[in-house]
Amino acid sequence: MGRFSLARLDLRARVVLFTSAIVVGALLLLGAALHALLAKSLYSQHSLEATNQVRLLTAPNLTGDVTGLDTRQVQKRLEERLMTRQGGQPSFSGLVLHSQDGIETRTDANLRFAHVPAALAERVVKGKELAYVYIRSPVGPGRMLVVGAPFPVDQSEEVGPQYAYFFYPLNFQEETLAKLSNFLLIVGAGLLAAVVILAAISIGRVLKPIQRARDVAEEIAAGNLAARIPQATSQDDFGKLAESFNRMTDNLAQKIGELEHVGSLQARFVSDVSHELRTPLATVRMAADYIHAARTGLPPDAQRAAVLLERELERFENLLEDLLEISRFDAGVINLEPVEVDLSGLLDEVVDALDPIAHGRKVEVGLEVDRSRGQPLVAADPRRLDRVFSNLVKNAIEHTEQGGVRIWVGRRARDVVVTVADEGEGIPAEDLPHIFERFYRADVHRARTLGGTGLGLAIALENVNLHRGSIDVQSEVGHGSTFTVTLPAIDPKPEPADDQAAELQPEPVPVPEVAVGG
Amino acid sequence: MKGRVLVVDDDPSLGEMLGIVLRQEGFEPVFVRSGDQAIAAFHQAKPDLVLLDLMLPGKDGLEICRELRLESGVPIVMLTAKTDTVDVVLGLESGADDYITKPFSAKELVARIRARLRRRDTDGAETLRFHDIEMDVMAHQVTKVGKPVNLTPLEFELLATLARRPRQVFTREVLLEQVWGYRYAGDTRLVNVHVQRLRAKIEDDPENPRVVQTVRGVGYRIGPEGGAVESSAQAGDQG
Repeated sequence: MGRFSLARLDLRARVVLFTSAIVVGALLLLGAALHALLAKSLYSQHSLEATNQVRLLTAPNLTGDVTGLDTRQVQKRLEERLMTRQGGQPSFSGLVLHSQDGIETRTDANLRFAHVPAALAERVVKGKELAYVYIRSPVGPGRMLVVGAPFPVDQSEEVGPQYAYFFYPLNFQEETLAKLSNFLLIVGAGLLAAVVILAAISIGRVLKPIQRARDVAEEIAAGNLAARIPQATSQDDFGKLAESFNRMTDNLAQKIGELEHVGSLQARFVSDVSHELRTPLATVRMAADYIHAARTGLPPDAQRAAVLLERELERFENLLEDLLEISRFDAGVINLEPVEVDLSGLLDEVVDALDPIAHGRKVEVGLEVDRSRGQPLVAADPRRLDRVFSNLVKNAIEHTEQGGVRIWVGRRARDVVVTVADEGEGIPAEDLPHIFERFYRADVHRARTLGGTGLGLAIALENVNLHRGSIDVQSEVGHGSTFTVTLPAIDPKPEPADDQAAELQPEPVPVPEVAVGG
Repeated sequence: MKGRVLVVDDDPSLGEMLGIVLRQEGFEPVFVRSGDQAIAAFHQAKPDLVLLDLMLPGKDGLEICRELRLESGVPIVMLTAKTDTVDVVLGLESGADDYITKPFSAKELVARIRARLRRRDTDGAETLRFHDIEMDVMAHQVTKVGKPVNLTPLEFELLATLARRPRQVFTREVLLEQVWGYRYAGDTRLVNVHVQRLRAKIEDDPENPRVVQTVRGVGYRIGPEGGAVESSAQAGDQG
């Protein structure tokens, strides 16, 4: 398993896996050592006993007793003697007597001299001493111990020197070892299972407070600033973590509270400024209107002053409106109350309203409505959208010296898209990223014929964002600009089967109880 | 046109300027600077129209509006410095007929006052009957099941406009033009709020109106009588 995929496992699985790996490794080492140790002692004990037995059976005193007997008799006596020694002692399953001349006498038909490894026979014959070796059993599974020793016989006999080879089966030792291995395996598996369970439980206990902290953090992320980790009574690391976490959240909540307070103060301030400025401005406006209307009786300079006063007051009012609007966006006090709006109708009205300006500048304004992919319906505040598109279309007209303005509206995937394209002078590439900034003027030298405030596009951007839409511009100097507004489309409400349902729909405006005298 | 206008505004300069404009246009302005004195001044001056600032020291504009409506249907035009939805709707729900947002031009102000003081010339005795309602247009009187209903002049005109062409659907824009005198797009909330106020007075169940019905997405109309509602094929057709 690579690091990458390991890192992707969850913490609990990682800890359990890691612990298990260590435990498995330790158990394997321990098991192997135990197995080796037991095997060694089992086999060495057995070989010691076997060689002792052989030594006894081939002892010279036996030779003394057999003087004058023939081989057959010796063998018989040996067998008798062996019979008495059977049981308790390691028992060999076969004996092969082999003479120098190649005469072979065996007790078990299946165990022959041929099974005795040459190396052993050589050591016994040449060294005239006892030797042993382990061989693969020729009669069954497992191994056998073969002990060879010179066999004492009467020198006078014609048989010549003989050698005895005893075959000891190792079934018992091998079975014992197999049982032991199984036992070790079972104990190891049990230990491993216990360790895994314990590790899982203890890591769970360790992780639980962390998971609780995570839950609380997620709750806070979801907006509940009042969420806190329940105070741990322990003074361990987690207790301290909970304490720090809660302190951090307290601080955050306090800062956010302060910011919200500042925000509401600003909103309040905007509202107050709005009222305080508007009242004197109403007086000034009426006074200016009055003077302007009565200007014919004034000296020429005063007449001009009256005209300038009236005109600039208009600009001042527009600027004030835009500033207050931007402030409201900044203060975040604008709530959208969307209704279903058909953009084709809204754009129609925008074009109509701007017709005098377009006509005055001899600019053709064309509106194309593409309904091939559905109705251009959005959920919106129609006044705000009216403002956005009036601004864009007015800008387009203003920037067109000759030619036309083309407006297109239609559905694109899940959106309604409006493009406003002009054939004006275009916007230089270096200005393009800035045109939605407040008071940014792309063309400082151009005459301000329509008296924009410099906030129009900034407000348009805010309004489009408010509707979860986007606004983009593409432009090429000399070829005009295209503004693209994208708003999330809505599907028309299903038309009622007949008009009955639609008609009787009370509006949710509460009406105070008023009795009025006529 | 002669008309007495009660100006309730705490700003002396604005009050004086309003006076200049109103006198020039042939109205007779009466001033009161504090909300607490507004009702007393109203009783004394018996104005044809009240120009009411929403934000006043002492009693505020909404409160004055409600109190005036308890005893009179006098046209009330609010002066408001706030364009926020809530303020305007609250003012209208308190009983104001129309509103004008500061800063306004003299022309705008006079147009709004004139629209509210204008009396429709009616040719002879006109009586409109629909549902269980009878309207005597000349006498400006309305009865429902024989019992008189008190409507403000604005509500009367709204109902009469709808009733003269029963079953025809009027868009909010058309009502704004015919009842409020807005030649360009006005605030459609004016219509919504006043329809609600009208329904509260003439409907058996204002929550489930049968006289002044909403045609969704289009506007309002006087509904057909009886239980069965016919097709509204005329939707969108305003003459």
